[in-house]
Amino acid sequence: MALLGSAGTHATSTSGIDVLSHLQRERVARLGVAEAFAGSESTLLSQLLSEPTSPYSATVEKPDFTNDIDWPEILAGLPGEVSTASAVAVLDWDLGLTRARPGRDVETRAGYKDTFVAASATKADVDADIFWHMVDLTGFRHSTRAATYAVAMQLLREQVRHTAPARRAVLGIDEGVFERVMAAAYLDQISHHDMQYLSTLVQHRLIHWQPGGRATSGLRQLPIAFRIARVAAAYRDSQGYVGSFPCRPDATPWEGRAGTGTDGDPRPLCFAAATDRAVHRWYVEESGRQAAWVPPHKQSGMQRLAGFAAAVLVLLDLAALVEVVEAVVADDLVTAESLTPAEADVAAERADLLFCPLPE
Amino acid sequence: MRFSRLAVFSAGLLAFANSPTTTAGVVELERVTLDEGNVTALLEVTSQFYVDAMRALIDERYRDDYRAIRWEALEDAMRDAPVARFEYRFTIDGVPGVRVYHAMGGLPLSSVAKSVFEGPTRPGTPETPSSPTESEDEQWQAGRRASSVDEVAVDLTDERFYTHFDDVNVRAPVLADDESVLDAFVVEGRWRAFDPEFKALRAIEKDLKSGTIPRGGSVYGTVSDIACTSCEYAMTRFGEIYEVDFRVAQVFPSLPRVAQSELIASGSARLKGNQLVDAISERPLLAADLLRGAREGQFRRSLSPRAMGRSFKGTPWARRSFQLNPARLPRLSESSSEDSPPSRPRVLRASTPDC
Repeated sequence: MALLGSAGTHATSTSGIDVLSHLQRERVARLGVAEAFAGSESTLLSQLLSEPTSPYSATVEKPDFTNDIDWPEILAGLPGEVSTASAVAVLDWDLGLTRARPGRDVETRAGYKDTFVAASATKADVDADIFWHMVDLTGFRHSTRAATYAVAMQLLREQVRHTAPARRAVLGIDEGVFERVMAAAYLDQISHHDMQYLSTLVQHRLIHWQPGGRATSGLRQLPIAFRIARVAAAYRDSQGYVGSFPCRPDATPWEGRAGTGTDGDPRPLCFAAATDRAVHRWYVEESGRQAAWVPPHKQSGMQRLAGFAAAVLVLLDLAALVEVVEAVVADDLVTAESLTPAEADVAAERADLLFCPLPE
Repeated sequence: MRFSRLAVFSAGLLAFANSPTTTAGVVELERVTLDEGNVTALLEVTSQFYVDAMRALIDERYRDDYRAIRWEALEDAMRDAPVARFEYRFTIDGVPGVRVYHAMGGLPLSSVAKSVFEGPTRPGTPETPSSPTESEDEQWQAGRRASSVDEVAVDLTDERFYTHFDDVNVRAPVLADDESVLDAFVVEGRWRAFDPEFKALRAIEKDLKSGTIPRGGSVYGTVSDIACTSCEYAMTRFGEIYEVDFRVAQVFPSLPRVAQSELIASGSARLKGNQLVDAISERPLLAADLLRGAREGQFRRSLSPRAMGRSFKGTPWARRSFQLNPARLPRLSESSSEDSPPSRPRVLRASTPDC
């Protein structure tokens, strides 16, 4: 387990471990359910981010909780020899607190035509052929939806790659869906079933916390909500900007041009310099703007896409909130018999109170 | 999870086929034990359809009937009833098509709810009806058949609660014996007409006979339990009559002891209580355990007294929102004059002042 890159880089290649679930288990055991789930998003983020209100915030190297008397014991409970730096890096990564600066946070891959596009798409771990094909099908007007399906297609590709052909059908890995979608020239050629199948792959990962996988880049895999947001950001960057590019060439935000991530500021962020959480917030707002466009024909492929993307968006709308992640973690801890159902409900209650869906 | 190592163990669990894959009517049953691929995801979707329907039914009939012990029985019933998802893939004029049949084992939802909420005391877990000890008793069989006819009618009236199915995803209800060439038997004390895979078979058969789908296709199925032997026989017979191939995955509840010991010895897994979990992440490794946990979660989110909007210690409880959202398209029989995007599915908003 090791950290990649130079100082100031927070991309992590640590895989296998789940610091957040472990932390929650320990907090429940030591503090009881009520107190363990009593913290708020702002409390946790204020410890992990140097400027919690900024979309471009750096992370804090040694958050306060690592000075707690219990921390060494909590750390020792993680499998293997995990340093505080590694554990915090994993926490930062899974909670979307890291950025996508080319050469610092992400070693970009070829095929995306632009360095900043490549940085976001590489961090999202979506191959270039899938990336471009999905937006070809939807157009940039619906790029947030394309992002959801691009990630779903990548998930399916990875499943096909890692599963013996003879076992795919029995495991519900439908390579035919991948082939048909990649062969489609326009959305109407993609069936209801195929879209729903891809939607299910994404939704399942949104409601079940499965961190710790390894991306094809060698980095830790991002949680799926942030992967989708990063792909959408890459699409936005690939559209180009007329006279007001939000990033400087060194991947720092251009003051006065880059969005601030605050209410009422519709300007795009300098995505490479923004945290995954900030990109996700932009994504949710951008999805709402794109959803306002009404497709001209009933039952068209675009309308099917809108329907399934809306189902995913309900989950994506929430997925980056710490409270929701905690609730999802809590549900899975019940499955693992580490929490009782009643205890999981405590976490869920907090998540529900935060549920503010986008306007239709 | 150390994927490659687990995959090797999984591949070592040999599939068993009833006949070679050379002619129509082939039936292959394979076992799935570890959580791999999309088995749990797809079955969780199937389960969600039934949880949603049960919620609608309770909302209408039993909204104010709260007794904790009854809700426990409901949870047992909804969590433990096996589910099946059978995809029928076919081709018409060179164009591939698919229709997905979803089924939950046991009695119709109305009968389950009636048993739970109207019984004088807590009943046994409602499930596939059991036979008396003399399972071959003719008189009992006759009574059972009469009862199943009643259940067909009940299941038909339940149709209105299933609002999330569409033209591609369809429900497999209990169907009458006289509509089918497939005979249901009592095996191991259970009346197999109520098994989910049997319901799915009869639903596919009905559509084949009506011409809704063409013959000569293939069924790719998944069952959350071990398929019953009589269902296996029914598949074979079905395949011969309708020229349909079957490939069905059965979710086994545990690994063979040797395979489990080897996994633990390799350091990839360990036992935590009764569950086999990943040695590092502690996530359960068996598909059956994860599906059971997911279904318990569905119940908590949609059907628990709190989720049904009852007050709990004076605090109103909204339905959990973070769950599978199976978007559905209007059925062909439905029409709308408005050109508008499909509405966002099933969003129930918590009354928070921040929204």
